Amino acid sequence: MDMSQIIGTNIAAILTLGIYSFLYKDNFLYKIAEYMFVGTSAGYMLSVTYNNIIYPNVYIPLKHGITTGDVSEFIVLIPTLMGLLMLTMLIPSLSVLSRIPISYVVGFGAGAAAMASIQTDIIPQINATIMPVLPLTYATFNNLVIVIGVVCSLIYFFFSTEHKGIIFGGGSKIGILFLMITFGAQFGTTVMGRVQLLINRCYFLLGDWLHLIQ
Amino acid sequence: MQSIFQILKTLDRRIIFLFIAIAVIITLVNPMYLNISISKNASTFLKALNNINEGEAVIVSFDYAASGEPELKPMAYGILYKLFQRKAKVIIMGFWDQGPSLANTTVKEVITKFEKDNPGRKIEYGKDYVNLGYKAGGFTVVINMSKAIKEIFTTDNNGVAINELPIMSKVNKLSDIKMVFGLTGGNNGLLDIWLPFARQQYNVPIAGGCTSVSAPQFYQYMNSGQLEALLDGFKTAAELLKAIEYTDPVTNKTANLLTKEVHKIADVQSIVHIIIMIFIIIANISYMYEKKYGK
Repeated sequence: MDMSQIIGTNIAAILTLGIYSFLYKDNFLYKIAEYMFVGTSAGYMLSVTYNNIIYPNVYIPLKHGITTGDVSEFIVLIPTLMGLLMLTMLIPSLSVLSRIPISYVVGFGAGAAAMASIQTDIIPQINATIMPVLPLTYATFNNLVIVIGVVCSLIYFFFSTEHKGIIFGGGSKIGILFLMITFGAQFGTTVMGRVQLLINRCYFLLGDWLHLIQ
Repeated sequence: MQSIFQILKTLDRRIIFLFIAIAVIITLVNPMYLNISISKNASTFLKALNNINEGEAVIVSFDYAASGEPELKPMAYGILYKLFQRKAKVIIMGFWDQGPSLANTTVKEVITKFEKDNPGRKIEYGKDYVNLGYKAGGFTVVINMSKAIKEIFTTDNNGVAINELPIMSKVNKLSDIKMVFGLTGGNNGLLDIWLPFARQQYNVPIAGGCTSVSAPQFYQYMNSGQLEALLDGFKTAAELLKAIEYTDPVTNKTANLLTKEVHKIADVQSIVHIIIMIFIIIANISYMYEKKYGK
């Protein structure tokens, strides 16, 4: 391990402990780690944006256009101007101009996403819910659970009728049960993900930093 | 009894944190190597990888940042190793700015291991794999890739002209891609770019991996058949690594990719989950006791 790695590991370990110290209470070390994280993230993002977007998509075509006289290269000025208009949001007297690029982005995004959403979330998902439930076997029992789950959950969110009686009252109660199971699964997987992050940091502290793990 | 529940009710959460920390440290230092059984999700994923044949081009999209690495890196490791085993042409890219940089580290580790396990096989950049880097633009990138990949990616991550790379000689459109493997740490990846556009609009099969936190959002797409295969968090990643086998050149015996490091982490996860479950049960008993007998 060279000197730069040793210094890097020590800084990373101190910052990790600084962040985790917040679990005890807010403190100076946590603040330093937090501000460093925000600062480095912003700096990194700026560098990535310049190197991956502005330099190849704006600077290079404009430079090429100026040196060769190719007028078609100057078309990049239109999206560049649109991007700059976004920044007028920061100037109250000119902020109305920011609506031009925003409306373009929203309009294009909505148009493209509408078809994709129908093709991805609506039709295939409805199709996947229309399944055979008879004759009752292990496979069709799973289908039955899905059909009951979908119908009862939808009944729970049907607010036009009071949830009383066998269909609406009973259906909404079963719907709540399915929703609770879903929330439980989401909570469980969230815990699993967060614990994984903790384990990874502990592995770094005990292994790479303290060398306690063989 | 009432005083015990009163104490539990007002228990300082830092004590729970301390329990978790102690459990993590003890289990990491003294691992138990609990059995890892291969689930249906992991075996389906392996089947999808085995369907890739020699010379076929696949995209591995690294759509995550450092925070997603603990769960997604083991998946990437297994996927890349298996794809090199299958002699596929691997095209790496990412919709997250950190993704392709993280891919470089992972791919180096995979190549070192692969070349050690397979004497005589050399994985070459530009011929067996390429890193096209980060591309901003989300779904518009996929729409343009469906027309001409080389117009949207003119150079690779190192600035080398894409036309100079042999791996890209037969890859012109998205339809030339056999399958996309998306590793996603949240939005801007598998679910909102690859699935609705590459899969639904251009019929390119999609498989992927996600963090445990976002896993419930993905199951419905497995059920409907829109996703070919899914790795839902670190657990299935460990299972995939166990399922990927190779012949050890030293012992000449069949071995798998499940390392002691991954196995230790899987152990800790199991132990911590048990502790959390115990706390949840205690809290619920306390709640029910209070409801029945009052304060």
